[in-house]
Order: sequence, then C-alpha cells, then structure tokens
Amino acid sequence: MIGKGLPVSRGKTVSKAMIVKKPPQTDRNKRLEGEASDAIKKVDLAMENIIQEMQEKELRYQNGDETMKLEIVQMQKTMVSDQVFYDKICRVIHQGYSPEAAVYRCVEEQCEMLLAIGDEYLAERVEDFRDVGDRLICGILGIHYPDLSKLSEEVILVGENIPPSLLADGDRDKIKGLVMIQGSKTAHVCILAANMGIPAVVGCQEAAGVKDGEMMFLDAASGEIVFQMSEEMLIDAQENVKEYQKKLSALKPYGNKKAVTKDGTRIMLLANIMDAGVMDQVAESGMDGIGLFRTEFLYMNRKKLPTEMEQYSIYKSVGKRIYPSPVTVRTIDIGGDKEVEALHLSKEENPFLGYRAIRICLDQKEILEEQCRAILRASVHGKFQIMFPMISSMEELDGALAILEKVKKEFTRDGISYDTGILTGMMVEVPSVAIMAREFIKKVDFFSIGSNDLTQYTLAVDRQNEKISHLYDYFHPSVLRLIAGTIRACQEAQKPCSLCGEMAADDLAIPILLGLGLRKFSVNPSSALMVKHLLSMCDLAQMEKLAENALKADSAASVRRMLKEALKEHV
Amino acid sequence: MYKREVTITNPTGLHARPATLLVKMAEKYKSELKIINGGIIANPKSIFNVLAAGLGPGITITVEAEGEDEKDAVDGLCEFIASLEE
Repeated sequence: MIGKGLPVSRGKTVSKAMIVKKPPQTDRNKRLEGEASDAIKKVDLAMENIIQEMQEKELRYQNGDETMKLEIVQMQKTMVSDQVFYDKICRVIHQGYSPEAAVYRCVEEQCEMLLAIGDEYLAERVEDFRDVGDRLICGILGIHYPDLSKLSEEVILVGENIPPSLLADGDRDKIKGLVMIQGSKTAHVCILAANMGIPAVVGCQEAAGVKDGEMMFLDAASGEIVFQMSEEMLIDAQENVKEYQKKLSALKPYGNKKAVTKDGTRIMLLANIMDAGVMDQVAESGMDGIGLFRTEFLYMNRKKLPTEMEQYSIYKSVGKRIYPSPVTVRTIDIGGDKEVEALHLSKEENPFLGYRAIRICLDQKEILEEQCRAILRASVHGKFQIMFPMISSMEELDGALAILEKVKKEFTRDGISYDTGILTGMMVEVPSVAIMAREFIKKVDFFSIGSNDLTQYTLAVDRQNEKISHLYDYFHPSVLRLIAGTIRACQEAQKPCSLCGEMAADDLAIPILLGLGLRKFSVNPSSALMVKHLLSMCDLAQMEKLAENALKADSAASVRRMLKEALKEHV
Repeated sequence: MYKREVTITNPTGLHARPATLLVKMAEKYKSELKIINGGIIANPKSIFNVLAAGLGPGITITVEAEGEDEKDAVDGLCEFIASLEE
C-alpha cells in the first residue's frame, strides 16, 4: 500500500510503525459485556504492565539522578498498586460496569478525595494519578498509551494528530519518523519534528491503514509512505534509504564550508532551535549562529512557568556554546496552537488572531519582564540579541521596548552586569508591519521575517486547516512583495534582515529570496547542508532578474511555473 | 493482637512523601494492619486510606496489628512515624 502526504521534514527511513492514539474519552456508564472475572483479568494484566513500566522508570530515574521525577513515579506506583483502589475496581465491575468504566470511576473518586484534602502537593499529584488511570484504561482497551519518552526500539509514529507536547517529550534516538493523517505543513508539531531532525509527512489519509508494529517506509523527501510491504518491497525500501544516506554524506563537506553563492557572495546561514539539544548539529553543520531561539518550548509541558534562573542557565549554555557567533532569542510566542498549561489560557474562536505572543506579554507584563531579565543576565556569557514576536502595531513595539528598558534600568541600579550593547529586533510576520517596515525599522536594530505567519495572515488562510491548505502558498506575489518591501526597508536603513520560516529552506524559494536581497537565512540545523549546497549553485545576478519577474506575476501558480522553468538548468 | 500509640510530630504529617514511605513499609508485613485516628480507621497498606485519614501533625494515633508479625509491624511503623522529620 502506498500513501501520499505533505513532506514537512526531510529524510527517509524504514522502521516499525507505532500507532499513537489519544486516549479515548471513557464512557463512565459503559456496561459490562461478558464475565466479570474476565474483565478483572484484563485489569490485572494492564496493572501488571503498568507497574513493570514504572519499575523500569524508577530504575532509570535513580540512575539518572532525577529526584523529582523519581518521587512522582514512586507515588504513582504506590497509588496504582493500592489494594483499596483495586478492590473498588473489582466491586464496580461486579456491579455491572465495563472494566474501563470501573477504572475511570474509581480514579475519579480517589482524585476527588485527594483534592478534598486541600494540600497543594497532593492536588498536583491528582494529575499524575489521572495519567495513571488513562494508562490503565488504554492497557485494558489494548491501545498504546502515548508515552514517547522511553521507547525500546526505533519507530515511526503514526497518528491522526500527534500533539506537539507528546513529541517534545519524546525519545530523540528512537523516533525515526512521523506520519500524521491530519495536519498541515506549518503545524507546530511539524516545526518540532523538523527541529529534531525527524523525517515527517502530514495530511496523509492512507496512513489510517497502517498497522501497529508493521515495518513501513517513510520517504519524507517525496511525501510518500509505503506499508503492508512484501519482502521484496522491504528490501527495495532499505536500499532506497541507503542511497539517500549516501547522498546525504556527499553533502557532508559543506559542514566545513561557509555559505556562499556561486558568484562568491557570502550568505549568513543561521539556525532555528528550541533548546540546547541540537547544538551539536549546529556546530557540525558549520552555521553562523542562532537566528531564532524559539523559547516557548521552555514554557510548555509544565505546571509552573520557568523561573528567571532556570531560563538563564539554558540561554547561557547556548550562548557560550556558539560564541562568538550570535544567539537571537525570541521572547515567547505562545497562544495560537501552542498551549501553555501553566498560563491557563482559555480556548478561543480564532486563536491565531487572538490573545497570543506579545499580546499576552504586554497584558501579563511580569512574564516578559522575567524573560528579559533571564536574557540580559545571560548576555554577558555570549553574543545575545533579543527579538519580539507578533508585533502588529507601533504601540506594541513601544510597550515591549519599554519593558526591556525598565529591566535594564533595574539591572544597572542593582549592579547586575549585562551586555549594554545588546541588539534588539522584531519579527515581521503581520502584514501591517511589513507594509510599514520603514517606520518600524527605525526603532529596532534588525528584522526577522516570519514567513509562515506572514503568509497565513496575508492570504487569510488558517495554516492548520487542511481543507484550505492548498491556498497557503508563500509564492503568492502579495507575500513576495511584502517580503521584498521589508528587505528593502532594512537595506535603506542599513540594518540586517533575516528570514526564519519554512521558506528559507525551500529549494524553490531560496533563489527568489536571494534575488530579493536576503542575505541571512535561518533554517533548521537538519537543512543546513542542503541549503548551503543550493546557495552554492545560485548566481546572484540571475536570481535578481528572476525575483524581479516573480514580483510582477499575478498568481502563485505562475510564480512557481516561472521558477521551475528558470531553475531547470541551475538547481 | 498488638497495639501501640504514637504521636505524629513532623511538620507536614502523614502526607504525600511520608505517606508513600509508610505504605511501602507497611506492605512488608503480613499482619492485618490498622491506623486508628479517633473514629477513622485506615489501612496503612493503602495510600488512599492513609491520605484520607487526615493524619496531620500533633495527632496521636493507635497502630494496631493482628497476625504472625504483629509486634514487629506495630513497633516498626510507630518508630518510623516518630522518626519522621520533614
């Protein structure tokens, strides 16, 4: 069987499929079908498995010196193996409820009891216990509970819609690929996959037919998946992967080379990162610094916001590693599809047009203040730049700059040292700002164009909505014109401009961006070598002509046609 | 049957971590165990029972055991509770 979807993170792999399902909503009134004793046996088996899993975790945490996690798992284990809890489950099954409904009811009952005690620590453990309950229920129903932090073998994750939080916590060495039935190119789980260097294909309907545990082939270069393979097909696929890896190693020499175009123009190739985990790859790929440090991932998957010192230590380690190259730290870009539990944000009708990023930070100023403090504190340990996301009006920019100023003054007053020359910039990702780029650049030291959001806002296309994803196209001349204008404003002001969206690593878009005058590309470390290779084949004068024509086009389709035609002989 | 009284002196009482440790310890004994706090009778082998029994600091409880290792069990649990510091 062959399926096709959108490739969102390059690479190829043959591995075992692992179906990731969200735990289904349990019907607490579901009645027992069959014998009570059989149902109890199911519970026993699920418990045995989960307790064994926990014992393994315990061992891992003991060896890994992770006291906090260890304590939690010990508490979870004590709870799940509790005799009273078990007796209750059996009793409820005998009353005629299905095993999953019985577990659900008993978990809820114990959680209510724990909450009623009114102890903060115990209240937090309630969530851990619910998590145990969900795992038990999944065990009973024979569904993999999505825990990707520890995998015993290499897998390709296959799911309807895999939440970013799950992947963020995932085992980097074992997750070899990602296939989603839903999803669009710029969903955050895709950004995450690309950042982790995991080949990924999304929007692949046929993936619904993949069986858990079967070997499958994921070709995230073409967007194809192959499953239910015969012996022969499997061998072919493995050959294919080997070939691909050979090609990749042919790109290796670019690791030691600077990024230059065919005519010798030096291009700055920067990295998009979200934690210190990819710094080795950044170094191996010979990149010129960090163009985008997505800090929101430090805020996700946790109950409390990260403290100043916690953030400081992460920024510092990244800054030190890459010094003397710069690190551009973007302040949190939360909201939209990136949920931060610790902020208790309410669901919105239009999250991308709603309470998001700098809008949250200007409302809850202490969040941005804390982050600015952490960045400034780290600024003496490297070459740091600070960047604000989602600016849509001058008032917002003024507000953000004022907060930074305030923190700087406090540091000076309190004698805390920081880099007084730290550069401050902003993202250009809302059309209002791109149109008024000349005015905005006066107040900051640099721009970074966020082409993903700029495209979605310019074309009024929700990038999450599969039904309209064909309308999401950054080759739309309107988007290209906004980018061109933004770059021009920077050139006039003699300030740098970079671009950090998917576009910067797209082989068709790179020539146009070069032609429009972009000299700073910020891409995922996994794309770096390929981008250097592409840049080395581009002649600036030709690209300028190409860009000029693209700006005059009347549709995205004609731009694409023009590009494919013109680049046939080059790339 | 063997029983003994003990007063909880640690500042957080038998909550969370101390409770987990107590349960872990109680599980080692074969005897039927009870912790009696006034009208509440809790099974120290159950974390939920222990947590729900409201065993806060300053409370004096009775630890009761019935079975082959009853004396060891009661003494062991009482000493553990008395030695709690956090």
